[in-house]
Amino acid sequence: MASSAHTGTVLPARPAHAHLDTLTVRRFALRATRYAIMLVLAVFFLLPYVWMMSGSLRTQNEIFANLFPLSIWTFIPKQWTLASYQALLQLQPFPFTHYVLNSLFVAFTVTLLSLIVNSCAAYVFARIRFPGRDALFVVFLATMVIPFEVLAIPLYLEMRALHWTDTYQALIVPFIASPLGMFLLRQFFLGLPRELEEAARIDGCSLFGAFWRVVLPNATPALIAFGLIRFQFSWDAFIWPLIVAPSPPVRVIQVAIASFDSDQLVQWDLIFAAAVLASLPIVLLFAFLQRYYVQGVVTSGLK
Amino acid sequence: MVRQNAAAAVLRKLSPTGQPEAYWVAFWLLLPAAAGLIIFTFVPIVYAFWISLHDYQLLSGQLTWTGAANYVRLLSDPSVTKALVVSLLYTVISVVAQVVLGLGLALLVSERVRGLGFFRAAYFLPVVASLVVMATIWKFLYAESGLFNAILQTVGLPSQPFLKSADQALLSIAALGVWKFVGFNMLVLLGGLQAIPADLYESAGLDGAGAIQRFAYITLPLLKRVLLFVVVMTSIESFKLFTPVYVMTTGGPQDSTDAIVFQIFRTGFRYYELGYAAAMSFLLLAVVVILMWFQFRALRSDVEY
Amino acid sequence: MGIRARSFLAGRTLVVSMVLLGAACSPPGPTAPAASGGAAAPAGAPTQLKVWISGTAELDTAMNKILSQFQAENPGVSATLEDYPFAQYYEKLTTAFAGGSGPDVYWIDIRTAEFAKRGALLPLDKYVSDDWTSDVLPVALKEGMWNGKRYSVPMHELANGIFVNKALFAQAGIPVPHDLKDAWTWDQLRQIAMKLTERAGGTTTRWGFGSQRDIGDWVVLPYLFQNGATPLSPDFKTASRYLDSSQSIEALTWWGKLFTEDKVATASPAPDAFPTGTMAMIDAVSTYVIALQRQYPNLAYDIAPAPRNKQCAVMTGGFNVGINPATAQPDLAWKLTDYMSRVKHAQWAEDSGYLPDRKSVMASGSKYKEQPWKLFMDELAQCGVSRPPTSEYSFFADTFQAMAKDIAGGADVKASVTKAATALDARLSAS
Repeated sequence: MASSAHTGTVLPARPAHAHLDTLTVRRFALRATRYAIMLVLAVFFLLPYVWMMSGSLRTQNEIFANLFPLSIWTFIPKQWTLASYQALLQLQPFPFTHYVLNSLFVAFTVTLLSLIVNSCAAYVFARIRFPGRDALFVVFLATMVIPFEVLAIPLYLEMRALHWTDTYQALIVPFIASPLGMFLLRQFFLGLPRELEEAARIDGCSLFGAFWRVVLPNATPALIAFGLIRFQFSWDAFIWPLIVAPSPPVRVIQVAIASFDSDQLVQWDLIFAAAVLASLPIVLLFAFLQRYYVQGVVTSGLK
Repeated sequence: MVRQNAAAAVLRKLSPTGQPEAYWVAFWLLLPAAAGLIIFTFVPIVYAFWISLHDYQLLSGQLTWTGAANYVRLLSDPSVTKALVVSLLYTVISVVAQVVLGLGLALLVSERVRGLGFFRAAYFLPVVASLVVMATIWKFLYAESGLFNAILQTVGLPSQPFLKSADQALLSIAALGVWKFVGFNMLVLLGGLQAIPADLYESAGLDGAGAIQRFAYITLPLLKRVLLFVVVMTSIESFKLFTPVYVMTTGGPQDSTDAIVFQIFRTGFRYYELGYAAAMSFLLLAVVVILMWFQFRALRSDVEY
Repeated sequence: MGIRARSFLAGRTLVVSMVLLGAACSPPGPTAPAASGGAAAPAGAPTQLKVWISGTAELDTAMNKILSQFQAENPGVSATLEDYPFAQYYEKLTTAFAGGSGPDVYWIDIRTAEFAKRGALLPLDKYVSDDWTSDVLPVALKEGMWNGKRYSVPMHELANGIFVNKALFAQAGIPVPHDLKDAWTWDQLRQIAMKLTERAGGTTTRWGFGSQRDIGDWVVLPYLFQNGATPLSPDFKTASRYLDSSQSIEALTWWGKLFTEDKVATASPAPDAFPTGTMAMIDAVSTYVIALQRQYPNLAYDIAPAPRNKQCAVMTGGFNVGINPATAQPDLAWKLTDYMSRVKHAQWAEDSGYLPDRKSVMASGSKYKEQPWKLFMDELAQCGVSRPPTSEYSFFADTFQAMAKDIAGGADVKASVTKAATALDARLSAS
């Protein structure tokens, strides 16, 4: 039986003599409309990206020139040029790649440490009972609602006290513990069968060993999903790096991009090219790890 | 059954102390995360609350005790009420749009079609973009002579003021928010959809239920848990609306996009009144907690299948 | 939750908070410096001065040149430069001061009063003699005062002019004035803008008029002044009867109509509308010359003086230099400040493209006798007005901007103005 499971449209089987009857036409029309809608939506979703990318391949004067009337030239540069990217590489005091590397370093470190620390905590919340465990979990989760801007100044003062301003630590350490991570990973651990750990314990593993050697390796989808979320969060960070670590040696991408927009001169070519470059690593990461991410996100929402 | 007993016996033997071993492990496993949260979240919260009981001039660092004065001022400040309303409105619009569109997209990509991977990637792509950058780009897409108006005119519709109109500005920002985050919700809802066993639909079909009935009586109820997740996550994020306002409208036109977090930021960082800003943020916290509580009650699911 | 666990956690939290609170608030804000530039710098170690500015890469180069020259003339002193984009400059300064790590010498604009009131600027009266100020254009000195005292000295100035598209004007047969005395009246400006605005179908393909900077006090205040109004009282503490005076409302109404009725201007122009020909005239700052030179060297444009009504008024303003009161080397900091703003002023004006504010430099520079520089300098000297140096400047700027944008968007002028004036009164009375 052909069925479109979730809208629940159940169509009867094809008649033996497959000529163009109303049913087939109807099915085709339905399919075609569906496809058309998906296509239009896809265009809408990709539009800003496409415009941004084509902007990065244009000269500054051409960027905003071809909007009216709408034509193919709105999206395809009349004069292709890599000048914007070249300009990025020739920036002073550091070429743009320096900021990319800073962002990569910070993001990877945050992600790695985050995965370790939060999966440990999530395991406790999922498997080890102690009095007050669930209340503690709720308290941790509650911190998620606090907007960062609220904490920015006190946190900045803490960084000052620790002499961590303009250092990588200031960009990394405060973001290792993550209630969201604990939540997602706990959900996942709750879904794993206890038999795994019990088997490991019987084989002689300590509680920690069971966690580290048996549970974690089986949690790859959730780990990758959360890892990607954390990576993106760190990659995207703007206000915090701006406040606490803006000087060029430790500057990250988002702050660098903001510096192209100054009082006198908005360097659109640099902004567009940098925006494309800033999107690239993230897009590639998500593209390669798509499967795990989808699986991880999808299972976490179910509980 | 036998195996279970044997296992239990072995477990008891391996850890003669039983529970305390677990407590010990729990302590160490939990410590780094707890320490991180305490030092970098709880302490700043406490400090922020302490600041809210003072008049704290940011630049000079001058601290004057004012007790509950900031909170009293809050309750009678019309711009704060307005800002809360703006954030609330935005949240409602955002949640409705994201749930509806997210569910729609999830339904669309739950089928096998040509190029499914492409579509799913296209809808998800905005999620990985940087919000700061995209807000800047969208600001120009919305301009009077920007891309969106160019498209409108090509199809014969009149130009819209978008960010310049008090009626359209918040909706325009909401559109950006939806574009950016709906891909994530699509995935979550997709998971929910795929977890519904197909035979439920088939038996309902055999019983004569139409497509809409199947959707209303099978799909929606079984999605309740996932929907709750989507609604709660989206609400929290939406209520904290800041970056697009900062980049695109700075609160205007006519205060129609003056979201509460933006106001907090502006009061503390631009007008240097950190004590008042801190008090505002605790008010925000209280409102969000209340919001979440209502949502949990409303969407509580007792459906098992 | 177990009572013991809860109080255990609470106790821990309290202890940690006390420790960190103690460390973090001893005391926040400008204090005796902790690390760099320590008062007891060991002999032989270079004295450090941190200089902060907000500019572009070219400005960095020009500024670093001055700093190296200073260091060459003052061995044993090391001056380091940090530069932040304008949009975040003040937030950056604020958090730095909040953490006690502000720079020694830094650029500050109309916000001098704001920073002075909050103790982030050193009073400079003991360093600045009458001799020092007599060489400076009066309008440039206004931004650095608060409560009768001087807190910053001018670094450079900017003035506005109307950049016009030469080809379009020639085509339409409209002559372009170059002298202040020939400045267009409001009516003339409006007529020219209407003539040059072009529409096709439902879109405007060419705007007659526009401004380079975003709508706000910099762009709109001159019209108030040109109509004989001021936004605030002379003591900068009241907005009512000034912002909502009949002349002010008249000016704002006329300006607002350019957007709503005449439709010769748009509140959100495409970037680079002027150089790409989609805007016939643009009200821009003097440094726009440099931007055009770099990005659109082939554009044929001309510069006309700002318009006038009952009187002439041209928006001026720029950066000034101030000193952190917590600096360990106030005298040395002043030496550098003086060096940057006076000794090297001619060189700075030349390298940066900003307008000089010293009469001696204006007189000695041949550049300033040629157009368009002559026009800018004349405007600066004869018609310059500045924004109100109130200690609540950020609030003023935001409120004024919201009001102006609302008016350009079609809101009722009287209502918008009254709303702004009321908010300003409440705020400024405490300033």
